[in-house]
Amino acid sequence: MGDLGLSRPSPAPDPHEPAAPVDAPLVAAARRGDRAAFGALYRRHARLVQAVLLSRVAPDSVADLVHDVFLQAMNRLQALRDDSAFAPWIATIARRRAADWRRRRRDTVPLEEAMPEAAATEADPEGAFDAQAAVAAIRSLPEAYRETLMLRFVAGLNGPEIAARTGLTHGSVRVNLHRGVEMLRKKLSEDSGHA
Amino acid sequence: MRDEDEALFSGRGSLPEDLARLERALSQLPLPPEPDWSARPRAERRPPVFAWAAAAAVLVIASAALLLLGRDAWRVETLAGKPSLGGVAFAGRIALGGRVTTDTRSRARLDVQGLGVVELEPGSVLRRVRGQGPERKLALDHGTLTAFIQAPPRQFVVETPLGVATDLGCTYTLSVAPGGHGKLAVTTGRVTFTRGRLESFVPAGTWCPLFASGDGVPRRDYASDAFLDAIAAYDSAPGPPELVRVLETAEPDDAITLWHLLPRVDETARARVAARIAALIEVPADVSRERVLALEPAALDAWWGAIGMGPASEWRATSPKQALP
Repeated sequence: MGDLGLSRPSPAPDPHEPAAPVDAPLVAAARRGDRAAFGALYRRHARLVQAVLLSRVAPDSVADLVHDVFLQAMNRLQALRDDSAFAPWIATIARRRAADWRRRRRDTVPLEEAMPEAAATEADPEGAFDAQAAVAAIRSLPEAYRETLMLRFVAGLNGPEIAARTGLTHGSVRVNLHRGVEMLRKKLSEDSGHA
Repeated sequence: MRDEDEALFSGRGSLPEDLARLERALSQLPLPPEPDWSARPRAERRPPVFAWAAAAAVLVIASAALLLLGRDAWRVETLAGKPSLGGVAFAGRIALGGRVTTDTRSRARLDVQGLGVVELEPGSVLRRVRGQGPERKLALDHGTLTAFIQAPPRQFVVETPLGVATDLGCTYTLSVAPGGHGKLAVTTGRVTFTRGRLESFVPAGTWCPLFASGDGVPRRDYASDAFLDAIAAYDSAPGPPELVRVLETAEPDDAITLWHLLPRVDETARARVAARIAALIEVPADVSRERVLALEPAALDAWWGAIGMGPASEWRATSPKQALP
């Protein structure tokens, strides 16, 4: 029984809070060695990193990789030129870390094999099962739609926020959301038909 | 549908029930527990100017190294699995200080520039090390290699923990096991294997067990079963009864093996070995048995010449004047 690679809920950040103005002083403080400030950055952006990773690596590896990504970020904070750009910066680190993970495991563990089974919990068995099935369905979509949908539904970002963190235009994000949801519905429908 | 698209994009307004349910489920995925950031060591801070200077220096050094090393780097080709390169290695090549490692499923081929190729079997570690003069030298830490060399004698050398194999123009297989033993088998041409002052001249069609003591002696692939059994028993327990069995089962072509025993046995045994060699082949009449028993280099060389494998000087690994013990 897998758990989507994650172990316990943490307080959810408010993804709609304007990121840049708040991030900049946190980044500056973290760069000076303020670990509490870095913790705040983790809590604000862990969902973003989780979403990026879920779209690219086996779910049971996500928890470890989330930590890896933030540790890399902590060690490389000096290299971040624009403190307000922490979110797209750490998303890029997450994509690179995911690519590295896939390169190392390409010949040994196909992505699909690492998909955990239903992650039912006592608190919300139906919801947890839905999450697992939905993650699997999104991961089966073409690459262009995976990250956009994960950012929308896992990280809770809206279209403009997704655009800011991915470098996509607003129009592209709209298209990805529209077509991605279409394909996701079809996929979930097929899966439930086969079940 | 436009309302749905707008709600999806803006995050405002109501989503259709299926998407709302999806959003609820995925937004509740648990996050990993937050690490204790205070326990993490602080990254070393350096002024940016230092970083740029360091990067520039690394770039210059790397470029110079590539230019210098690239001319003399040996290409490594994958034959199976995923061999790995380490040390001074780049772009699928190894230079001096480079290393090729094969795991239990990997094989690799190393192009020994201008001399031939070396194939590395699974479970091996092969390093490129500095040779003397024109020598091209490798170090086989453990594992197995097969060398296909077409070069003048003594230009291709492989050192191992058990001794040094010097190619005299040939094809051979060399194995080194972690337990301190190994094997050298020559298919074509000839190889000299040296352990300290002990030398083994290994011609095509013979093989030689390798021991840390240097006591392994060459034997013919097609020697009689009785002789091969006897010499194997002597390898395991080199006592007088085993030596007697070796001498009794030896045929004229096994003089190669017996000649190698001369410097490896005590005086009493040496007399018996010399007598048997003299009985099996025509030894030079002008070289007294006493000189051979005294391990006089010229006398030993003369007896080697009588075996018919060419002058001993041609077999010497380093210098034609170097004497046997």
